[in-house]
Amino acid sequence: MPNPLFVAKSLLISLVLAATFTNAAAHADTRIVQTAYGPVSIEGIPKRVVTLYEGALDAAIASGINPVGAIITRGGSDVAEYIQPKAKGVGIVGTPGETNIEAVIALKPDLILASAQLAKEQYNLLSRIAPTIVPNFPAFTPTTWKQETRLFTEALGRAETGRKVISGVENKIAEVAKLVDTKLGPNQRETALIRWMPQGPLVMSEGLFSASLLEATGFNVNSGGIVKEGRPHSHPLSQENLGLIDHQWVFLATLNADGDAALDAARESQAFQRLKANRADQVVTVNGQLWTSASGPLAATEILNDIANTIDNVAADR
Amino acid sequence: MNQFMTMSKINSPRAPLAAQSLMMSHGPHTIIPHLDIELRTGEVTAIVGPNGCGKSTLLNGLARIHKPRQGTIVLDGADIHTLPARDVARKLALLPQDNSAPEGLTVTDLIRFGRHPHQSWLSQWSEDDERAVRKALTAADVGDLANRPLDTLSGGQRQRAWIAMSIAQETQLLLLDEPTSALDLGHQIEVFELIRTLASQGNTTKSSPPM
Amino acid sequence: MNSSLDSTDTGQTPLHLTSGHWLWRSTTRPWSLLINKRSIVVNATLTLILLACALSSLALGTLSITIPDVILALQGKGTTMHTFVLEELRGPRLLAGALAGASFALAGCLMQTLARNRLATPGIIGIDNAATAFAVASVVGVGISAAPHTMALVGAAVATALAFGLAGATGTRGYRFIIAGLAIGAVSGAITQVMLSSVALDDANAAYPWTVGSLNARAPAAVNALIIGLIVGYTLSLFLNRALITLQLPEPVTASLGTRSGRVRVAGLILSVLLTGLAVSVAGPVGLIALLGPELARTISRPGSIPLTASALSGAILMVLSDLAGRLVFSPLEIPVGIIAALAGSPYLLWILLHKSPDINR
Repeated sequence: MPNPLFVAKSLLISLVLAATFTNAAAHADTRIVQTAYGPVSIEGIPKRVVTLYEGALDAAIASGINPVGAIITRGGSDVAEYIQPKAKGVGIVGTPGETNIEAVIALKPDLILASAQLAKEQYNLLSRIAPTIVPNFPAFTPTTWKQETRLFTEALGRAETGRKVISGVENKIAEVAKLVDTKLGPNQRETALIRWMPQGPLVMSEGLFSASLLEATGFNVNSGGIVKEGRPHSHPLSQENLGLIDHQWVFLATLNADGDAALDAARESQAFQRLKANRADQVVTVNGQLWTSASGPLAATEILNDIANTIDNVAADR
Repeated sequence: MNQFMTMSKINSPRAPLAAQSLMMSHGPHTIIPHLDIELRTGEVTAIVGPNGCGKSTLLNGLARIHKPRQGTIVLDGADIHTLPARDVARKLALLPQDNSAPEGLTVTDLIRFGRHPHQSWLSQWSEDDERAVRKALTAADVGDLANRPLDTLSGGQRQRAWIAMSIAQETQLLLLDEPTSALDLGHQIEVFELIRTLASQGNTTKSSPPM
Repeated sequence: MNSSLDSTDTGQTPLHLTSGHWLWRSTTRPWSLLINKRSIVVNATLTLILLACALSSLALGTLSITIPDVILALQGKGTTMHTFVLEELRGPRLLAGALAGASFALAGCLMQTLARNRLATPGIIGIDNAATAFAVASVVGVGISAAPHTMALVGAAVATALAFGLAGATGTRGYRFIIAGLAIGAVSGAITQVMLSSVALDDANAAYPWTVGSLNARAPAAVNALIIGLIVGYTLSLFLNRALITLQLPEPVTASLGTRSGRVRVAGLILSVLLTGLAVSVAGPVGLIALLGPELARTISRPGSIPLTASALSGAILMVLSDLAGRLVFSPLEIPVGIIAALAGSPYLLWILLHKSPDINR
């Protein structure tokens, strides 16, 4: 890791030299970052960044860089709602499953940030357009988002800002954890994280980004043992199997209007109404784009706010 | 009426087609239990019988379309099922009862199909092909209709066109399965006269069915 | 030209038996060729249309490149960006689309001819669905871990074998084979859905192109296999053409003309399944091309001919156009080519069901 002084100095130098002769500036600030496809060297401060991963968009904006291109969120038609106000004017270049490489080229990027799932063929094309950063960290661990944020901000030449942003989130976690501790007894914290889809509820993995935040703030996320190792969620549950997630709390996410409609219908059912969390009014509906698709420091902050608000409300009721 | 079919032997020096101890069946049903038949030179043989007596089955067996359960069919001294399909098609033509052709096909197009067993990738339209089609057009008296699509013809005209196709095949044997069954009396006579004409040209002898 | 009009046999006015054809006869050998003028005109026109569509497909997209720039880039004189877009993105995609479209339509034309039924296309009788199910199984990691495009081919073969088995070995003609195929297609579709709903969203996303048909998911190895398969399949189908033509006549007449229809059907079916499997392995299930391509070709071709070449060209055109539309309509987001083909093809399928005889000769 370069020290902050060095970063500041090289930043200054590159800015000064960029005005006079660009090549020298590039040499003055060349970083090498380790990616899934080997070391990638990046020169200077990227100005036109395209993010092909929601976590990368989040990390870039959190570190003060507005990407020129991004992909839509799952089940949506734009970037996730929580980040829209900060990502105004960002060009859409594809979906989580499919990147429109022509649209990427049209944006003339100087850096591409991608997800760990990027296929080799896609990488081969994208890396010819601009340096392409593909993270290579174990998925579904509580630290995955931090490792990815560090990698992305380093590639962006914002390593220091990245570190600050991450520690900011860590502080926030500690704050909310304290709040949970004061409001909930140790036996009142069992929760499930569910995404309600038109085909039924999916139980989300305990390793999922938002689930790890619930855990970090003191909740006990219990997926009932039905999510397979390495998978983000279970098969859709039938109504009679809702008992598997009959915990004190249920954090319930929907991705879009179809999911909302399915959930509204399900709420009428006996199986749903009998849930402990429902009777205790502890079914917390949250935004699925934020809770089950996004990742990164900004998303973390928003999710932590959701948790804090929930706890506040609980306290007010009692 | 019309429960008959005609087998004409054209230009045949001696009995070219015979069935010995023939047994034909459809699945579990035996249609023809036992039959010996020899079709002799220069004759027209008519097979007469009620519906379902196995006339078409016999013809399909003789034309090697269905394999007999038992017995053999001998074409020019050889078991018909050991002969290449193309060789059989040059000696034996079958015209079944109900025929349909692709929409828009003209009479000439149809008759040209008769030349199929005589053609190959390298011989797509020989002078023989041309002569045979002309002859068939004349013989069946459909020269005037040569460029008419089949679907614009009357039933009798259409049947004459199909017969012309079989004539163009230039086989020594012609098996016609109820060639007049779909026709009214006038058209039946048209077709019988065609067969009579073929015979009178020295190619065929024919026998008339009971009317 | 036909030079020997001999009317002495008929005693009638000379008839041009070969009007509308070019005739060539060797003077030294018993060789002759009869080439239909309309087929030549139809195929030449379709080729020109395909070239125009190909050029448009190269020029249009999220990034527009002018036709002169496309031509410059094709000559190796374009800008780096244009060359990259044409050589790496649009060129291979165009090639894959045209080849897959041609394969689908040729396979459709073969199968329709064998079954004498315009609904008997590989897509409708479930071969696409089975190929997709196998490919999806591979993508989401169920069962054998062969590459998806290999599995697609295996799936096509398995479906056909099953349909054959269920319909009885001689059932390729008529409805038994179609019904068996429909059932296999429905089961395959259900299996695909079960697999997709039970795996991680990201895996399901990766399998998505396989389920709708997309030219974005093509694997270079699959395209290479398709190139070879199409060349071989097209050549063999041309050799089969002489026998296929006689299949249009009633079964006993076909046999009487010396065609071994059983063998021809098996050969044609194998070709059709091979072509479909290879096309699915590149483009996913874009089965309606197999219905639309031959139908378009048949409409403009000479009655009584089997429009193999015209079907392949029509299929290529339809596929290239569908893909182009899919890339342009909601640019920069793409609509997979299979969805466009389905949108364009479904009304047509409905029209056939309601207004046309399923018999391809009618």
